[in-house]
Amino acid sequence: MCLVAQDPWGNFRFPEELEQSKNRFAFTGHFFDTETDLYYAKARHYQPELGRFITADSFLGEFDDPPSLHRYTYAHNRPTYYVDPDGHAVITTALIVGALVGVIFAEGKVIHEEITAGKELFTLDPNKGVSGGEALKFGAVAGAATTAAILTGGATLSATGALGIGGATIGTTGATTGSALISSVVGGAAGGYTGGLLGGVAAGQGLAEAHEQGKIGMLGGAVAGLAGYGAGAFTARLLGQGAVASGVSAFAGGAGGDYALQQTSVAFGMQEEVNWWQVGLSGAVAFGANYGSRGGLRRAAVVSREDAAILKSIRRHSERLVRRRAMSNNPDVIDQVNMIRHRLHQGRRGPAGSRFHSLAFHFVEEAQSRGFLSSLSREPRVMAPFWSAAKYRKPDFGFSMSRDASAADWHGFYDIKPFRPDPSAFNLTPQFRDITRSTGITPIPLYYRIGL
Amino acid sequence: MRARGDEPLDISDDRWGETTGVLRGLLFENVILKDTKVRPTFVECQFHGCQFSNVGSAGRFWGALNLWTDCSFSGVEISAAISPQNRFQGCVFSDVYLKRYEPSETAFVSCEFDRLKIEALRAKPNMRNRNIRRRIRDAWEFPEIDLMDDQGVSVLFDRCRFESPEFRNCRFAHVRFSRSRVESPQVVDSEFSGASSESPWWDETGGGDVDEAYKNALIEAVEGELGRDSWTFGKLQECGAQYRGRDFRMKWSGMVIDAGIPDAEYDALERIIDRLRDRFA
Repeated sequence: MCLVAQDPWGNFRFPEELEQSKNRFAFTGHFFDTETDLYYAKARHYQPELGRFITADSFLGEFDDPPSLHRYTYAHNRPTYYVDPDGHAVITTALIVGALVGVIFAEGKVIHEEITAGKELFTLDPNKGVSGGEALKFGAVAGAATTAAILTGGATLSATGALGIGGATIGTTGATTGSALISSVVGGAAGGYTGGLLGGVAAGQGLAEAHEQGKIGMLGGAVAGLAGYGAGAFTARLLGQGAVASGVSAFAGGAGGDYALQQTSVAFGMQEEVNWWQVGLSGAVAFGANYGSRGGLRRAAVVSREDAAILKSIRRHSERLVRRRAMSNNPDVIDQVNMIRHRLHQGRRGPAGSRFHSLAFHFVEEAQSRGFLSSLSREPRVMAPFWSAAKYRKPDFGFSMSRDASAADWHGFYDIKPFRPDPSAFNLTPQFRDITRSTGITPIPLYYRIGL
Repeated sequence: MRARGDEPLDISDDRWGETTGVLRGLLFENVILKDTKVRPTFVECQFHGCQFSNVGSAGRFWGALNLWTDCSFSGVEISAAISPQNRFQGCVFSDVYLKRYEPSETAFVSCEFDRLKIEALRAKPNMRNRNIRRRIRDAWEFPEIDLMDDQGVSVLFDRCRFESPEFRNCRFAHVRFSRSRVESPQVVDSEFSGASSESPWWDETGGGDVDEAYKNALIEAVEGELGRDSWTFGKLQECGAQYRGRDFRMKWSGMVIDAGIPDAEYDALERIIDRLRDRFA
């Protein structure tokens, strides 16, 4: 452990401090190379004297975020405001999540104060507002926790999410089972039961009565969880993004479970009306738990346009060979094409697809032998989450540029798949879901259409 | 990653067989890697004085744009390697087995090979890619690359010594042996057309025919698995009588498949094709 003084751009105020310790992890956790005076920021090297990366960002930026379009600047030229954990994207969402969690916790504090003042959990004043100052205070703490969660793999926020009641279990249940449907239903049920039980205890009921109330809540929660799953699946189809779907599913499950519980309480006369703040709280905490269990921000694939274009052209050329729109003078390729066509004649599309993979792999090797696609691993083994049925998942192609011999820093995955009109058709398959959970990157299908 | 002092650093562990991905820009100095499979791909890495023993790899252990100096490879078995833009200098290879080796723009300088065995060597043509040349120059010295470009050479053995090497089913086109000595070579069904040397060690008049060897191996395999009475065997005999060498290699599968091979025989034929693909360049 050592303490070094640095300016906002990562320059060492007292360079002699570098000689007092062998620790080279300094500015925002990046490794400082004393031979080159550069920081290794995972995807790129950062030059602190210039306050610039020395190579262009392979992430091309977002049009609705103009500073991100500049491919050499560090942290949008605002190093006191943003950090860049991997050389690709600055953390801004930490503030959004921080603000969200801040509001939630501020509201939680209001509820806590009301209960302390003698009110029961389900008879709180629903119109009592949240103090802006309180929200800001909690938001700052939560923002810092979120940043740490992103940098450390989401453990912090996961723990934060676990503090909640109601729908909080949905995220961790999802993490345990790995199934969106099961996690939504079980999470909603567990959330409903927990909320019912705690609500009953808070209302002064005995344990047996509270347990009965919890069981009622469990039923309502399960139904709401199912509705949450439906909402998530609908969102996935609409947006084609598994992470968004999962977040919506978690939020809907948590909020729905809580709403069902409260409606049940209202029906049984235990509560006057539904407390919408509480519904939102359960949903938000469920979202937080889900977010945390995902290992922080879902990273965008940052494979360069050139590499992606080469892969696509390989897929296209292979298709043309199978359709006899192109010819090859390589006997191995000719054999592969003949075998694919024969399998298609037999009507066996599965073996034909396997052969199509072999053909594409051959061309990838050709490209690699010419110096292209050097960051590509063919069929890399990606560790599956521990709850998965498989130990590893093997997408067809993975791009990484790690300098750490113990880990692969994945930038993107591509998987050859038969054509589907729905762009998110494979996102919820066990293979894609496990890879997304493990790495935060959803593979991109390379659709092929082969025919005779 | 480097050893402290003179004692080499042993970095062998099970993770080399489990971790995949690309390891880029690393420096390995005086390290030992032994008794393991290697799954990661090394790109733009430097290895100085490293020892690799009983290491196996399917694919790209030799990766791309790597520099290997004074390293030793003992009992190393690599299949389907392509080793683009690698430079080996002063390395010692003992009992190394390279199976289906398809190198491109690779130089071996002042290396020693004892009992090297290469099966199905096929060097990729030198493409003289300007971007790659720039990357090579940015990475380290590769003084031979200009000469290789001028001569259209893709694999260069310069000042190397081979002791009892075995070359089986290899094509030596785009390969140059310069100032190299080859002692007691065993050459089986390999072609040397397109190979160059100031003093060729191979029989320039003869040499085998990889495609004919493939044809014989294919017919033998089909006879062994499906029998002489099978439809496929008969069709192959017919095709073999019609075509020879490269023509046979290019056309036989189309002829057999298009003529309506029985489903019962086709699965076995696919397995044979896959097996032979690893054995013949």
